[in-house]
Amino acid sequence: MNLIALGPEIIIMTTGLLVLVVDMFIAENKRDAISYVSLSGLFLALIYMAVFWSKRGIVLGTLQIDDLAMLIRVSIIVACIMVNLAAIKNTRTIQEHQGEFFALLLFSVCGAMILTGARTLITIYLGLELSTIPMYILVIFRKDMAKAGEAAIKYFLLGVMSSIFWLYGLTMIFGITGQLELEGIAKSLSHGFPPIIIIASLFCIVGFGFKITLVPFHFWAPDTYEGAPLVVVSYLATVLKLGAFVAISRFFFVGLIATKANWPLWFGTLAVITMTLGNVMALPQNNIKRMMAYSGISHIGYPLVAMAVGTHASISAMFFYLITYVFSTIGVFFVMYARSTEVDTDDIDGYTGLSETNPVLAFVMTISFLSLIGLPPFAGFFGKFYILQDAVANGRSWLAVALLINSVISFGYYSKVIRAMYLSETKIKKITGIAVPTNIALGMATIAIIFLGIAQRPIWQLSLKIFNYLKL
Amino acid sequence: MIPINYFLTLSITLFSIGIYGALSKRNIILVLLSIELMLNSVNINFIAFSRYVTPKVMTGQLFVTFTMVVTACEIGVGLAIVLSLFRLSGNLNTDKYNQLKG
Repeated sequence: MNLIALGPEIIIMTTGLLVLVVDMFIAENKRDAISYVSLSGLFLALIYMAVFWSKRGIVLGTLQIDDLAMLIRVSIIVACIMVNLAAIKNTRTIQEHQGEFFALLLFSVCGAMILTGARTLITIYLGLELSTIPMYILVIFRKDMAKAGEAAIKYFLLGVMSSIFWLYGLTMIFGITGQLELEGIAKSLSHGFPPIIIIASLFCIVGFGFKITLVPFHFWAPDTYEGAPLVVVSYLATVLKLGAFVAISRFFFVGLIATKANWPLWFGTLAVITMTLGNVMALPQNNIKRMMAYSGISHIGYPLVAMAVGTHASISAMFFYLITYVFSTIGVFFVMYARSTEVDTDDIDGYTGLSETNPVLAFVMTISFLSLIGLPPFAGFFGKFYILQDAVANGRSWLAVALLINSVISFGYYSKVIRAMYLSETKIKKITGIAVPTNIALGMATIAIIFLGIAQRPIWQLSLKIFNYLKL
Repeated sequence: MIPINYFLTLSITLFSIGIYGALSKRNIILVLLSIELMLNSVNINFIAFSRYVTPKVMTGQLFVTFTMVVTACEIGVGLAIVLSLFRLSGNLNTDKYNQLKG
């Protein structure tokens, strides 16, 4: 029994249950304490991981705790600490239901962390569901808003349908191999496989595609992002995609490695469609939440380029890129959240003259955007650079060209917001102070973006070790 | 023993009916019902394969117990969402939920 490596999940799950218990007994005027309980649970998990950093191995036959799992679990916890900080004192979204909100958030984090290590199909399934089912509820957390209800029902129906597609693909794989462990599947497929496996993998790509908003399975994302509370969206758009991406890479690189000859066609095509359509649809958007939804879609296309290339270096580049994406996007969403306490609009017009009234917000927004565009020295540049470098080195220049063209297109819509912030006269003079926890979250996002850009070496060295025990 | 093809035909038929229902029905409750049909086709597939491919071990049946529990949770959450939507807007027609677009 190697339960020590499973510690962070246990801590977070226990904290989630503890939050519910505290919620029952706490006095009405001290309800803010609940958010600090959940925050301390996350910090405890982070400290635990630092102490037991070298504890690796297979836990209970279902979870493989390796470098990939450790790296992504740390990123997920740090991102979730930021989300938790931003949610403190967020009375507009949470009202008096702190207990439910933070418990659901922690359960979802636990699911995403289980996904990072899952090595059997059952564990991947449970991780996917545990991370998304709480989100269905969090999206409709404001029950009195019609928009939130519509967002939740769209997200729910497509989420459930996608898991069924994925499960149907699994039944075919199970029927051919009789295995539920990824390594067992790989072993039984290694000496040739019937064509039904190709169909099964396509079913699985459809299922995963809904979770990570691949085009053409993306259409829920803009609607859900627009209707859901901003704190929830900042989690939904980053941590969940990260967790699902680990599951995809394990599923294909460990389990279905036999189908690798088809990957440049599948993932390459999906990457080009996803990047291009996401960017083109983002250009005419006036609502910044929808713009960020399409931007998120296009940013999922870039790591798929690395998936299509499929070497060790490209996997490392893929996860490094995804980590930079998480922190850059979370920065943008926190600025949007802080701004939404001042101005009650989601339109880009709401950001005119932000540099005058609130220069700090404008600054964080700008560096997050520059990082998303991929300008040095910010984090996003190195992510894109490593992916590009590997695509060219392995003779997939057409993907590299598509990636470059799309980066240029994305400049169009990001610069629209930057222009509004710096070059337009302000119409809104009202300044309300931003809550201290939100400020800390903004600061953490800024530090992460700059640190991952300037001092990216240690993280990059760590990500180079991902899957080094696999033969690709 | 009944040949496995019978089970697979039943399962793919259920799956197709489910997809058709989920995409064409306008009432959310009917959409949820169709989704349940699709899910049961998955369960039938798993159990049939488990019986024919791995008769000694019960891995397929094991997976099905998990899917059934998880789906119960999912549908519970789904019905709660539908209920609060109905309280808010007073209808269950998916065509009426068209505030978000662009």
